[in-house]
Amino acid sequence: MKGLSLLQLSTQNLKRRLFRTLAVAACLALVTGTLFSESLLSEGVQNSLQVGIGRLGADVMVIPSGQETPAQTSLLMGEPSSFYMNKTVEKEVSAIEGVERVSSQLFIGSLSQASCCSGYFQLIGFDPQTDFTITPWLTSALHRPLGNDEVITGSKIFPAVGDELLFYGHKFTVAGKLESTGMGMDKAVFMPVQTAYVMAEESTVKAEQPLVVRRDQISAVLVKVESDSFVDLVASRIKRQVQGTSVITSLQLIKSVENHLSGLMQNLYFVTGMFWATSTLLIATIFSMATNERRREIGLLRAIGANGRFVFKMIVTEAILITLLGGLLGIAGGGVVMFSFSRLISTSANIPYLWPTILQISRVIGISVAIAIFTGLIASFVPAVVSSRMEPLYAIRSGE
Amino acid sequence: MLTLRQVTKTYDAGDSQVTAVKNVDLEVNKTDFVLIAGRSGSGKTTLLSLMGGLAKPTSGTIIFEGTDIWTLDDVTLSEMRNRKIGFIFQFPSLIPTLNVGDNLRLATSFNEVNYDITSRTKNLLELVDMSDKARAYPSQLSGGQLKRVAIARALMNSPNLILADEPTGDLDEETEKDIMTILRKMNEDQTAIVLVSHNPDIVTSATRRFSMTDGTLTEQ
Repeated sequence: MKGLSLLQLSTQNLKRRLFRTLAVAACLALVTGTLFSESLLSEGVQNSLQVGIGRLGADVMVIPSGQETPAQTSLLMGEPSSFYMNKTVEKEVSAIEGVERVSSQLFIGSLSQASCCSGYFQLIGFDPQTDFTITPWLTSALHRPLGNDEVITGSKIFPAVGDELLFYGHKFTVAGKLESTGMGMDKAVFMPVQTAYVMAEESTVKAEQPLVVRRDQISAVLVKVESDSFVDLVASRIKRQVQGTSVITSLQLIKSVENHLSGLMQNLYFVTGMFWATSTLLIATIFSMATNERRREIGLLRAIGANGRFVFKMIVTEAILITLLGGLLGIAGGGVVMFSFSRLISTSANIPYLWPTILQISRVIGISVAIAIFTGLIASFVPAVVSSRMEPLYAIRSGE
Repeated sequence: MLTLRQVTKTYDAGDSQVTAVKNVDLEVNKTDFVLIAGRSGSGKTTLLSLMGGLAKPTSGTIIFEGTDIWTLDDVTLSEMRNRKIGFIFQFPSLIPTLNVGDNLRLATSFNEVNYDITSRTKNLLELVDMSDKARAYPSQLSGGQLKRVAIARALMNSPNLILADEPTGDLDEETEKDIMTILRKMNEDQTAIVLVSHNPDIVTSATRRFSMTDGTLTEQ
């Protein structure tokens, strides 16, 4: 039978020195919270890319030469853009060796602050006959062809299924919504390409500003490469053989975001690293001061029968408990910040973001908690060793 | 039970050295109530700490129940202190973050014990007349009450030796008498007591009396 456990003793010490406990915990909560938010941001971008590119289904996107930047911005962030090339490109691309299937799309930016448009969105006309990128990802299956005046919207477009939308004076009914990807397609409105042409033709009378798109024009050709072909090889063939076009491969898209993200994350991690180092020093100083103040108490514990190892474990346990508390508070705070501001961060940093999966979040939580505990360990190590080796009489006297 | 042979303790005090205890020889038997009197700074507290293994002598040997305590490792020496020696300090020696009950239970936290901790705690608090303060924190107690609880904690593991450093210092006369009564009772129950005090008049029940001057111990 034993009296108080090490944990009970440590908990009592922390409870009775509540202000110091909370101050140290708050300091670590800031570090852990920042780190947790950054990691969540990084994971969210990775997740978005993985899901978005996966759902896009295309290995290569063929666009008019010189339109790489607006095309990428549209794909990643949903920034409306309009660019066109001749429809014959679709046929030329389909004839290239290594191409399994193609589907063309028409990109139209709706008008902002115009009474003829429900909002400023990227409108995408797709060919229902050949499409392999949109219809498979409806949140609930649409067991019929999309009607002429029906649209499918991305997850971030507010109106629900059955609601009406107005573009260039043409009324549409929302027939389905896509699952969230965190990428540009979440803010896009999809309609059959023939409807898009009709909308363009009618715009001369119905819209505040006419839409100039001819029926022989498309914006992009989405390409699925044969499984035994190399995407880069097929992409370079397209670029070489189809005049006036550029290509964006899914890998390029990922790399472009990753490059952008790595610059941002490097800066953030550097600042957090410095913040962590400063906090660790601060916490170590607080622990050192706290153990100095408690010298007599430590001497008393030794006199009552605590051995040096017990004293060491007690100080380290207190440190771990405080940093664990700080870590958990930081994780909760960081989670709230990311939940509230992830969209704003994504938009201002120009990066796609999709809330990470449970597995990713669990991993980030695990790492954050481990870092918090590690911080407690290193901050308390020296004071714990010094206290555990102190002669009891010296401890009692120097604490007087 | 406790033997000190030519025990000396020297401290570094800046550039010079201070010898707090000089060549002390002492034999304490299990029925002894030893009083060591002396002025402040005469080395009484250091001697008491040496007896209890709280400080290592610069030279000499300290033998407790047949074992030279400084041949023991930290774990064994700590266990010995826990099981066989009870300390009562002159300063408030309760852990401020623990209530009275937990301060007593603290003595049972380092090693297994084979008695009922709850009933032992209750009995000891009754003995020192502190039953109603089991949940109070040290900051809520008076000086005399703190001393009583410290005595109860020292008795928790039924030690063979009590080392008491000015246990009645700063207390009123009545509390002094109460505490001396408790210590005398403990001694009657076969617990050896070594008590140091600058005021020898308060200890009427001592079986042996020593005086300490400049680190030297003399039996009277």
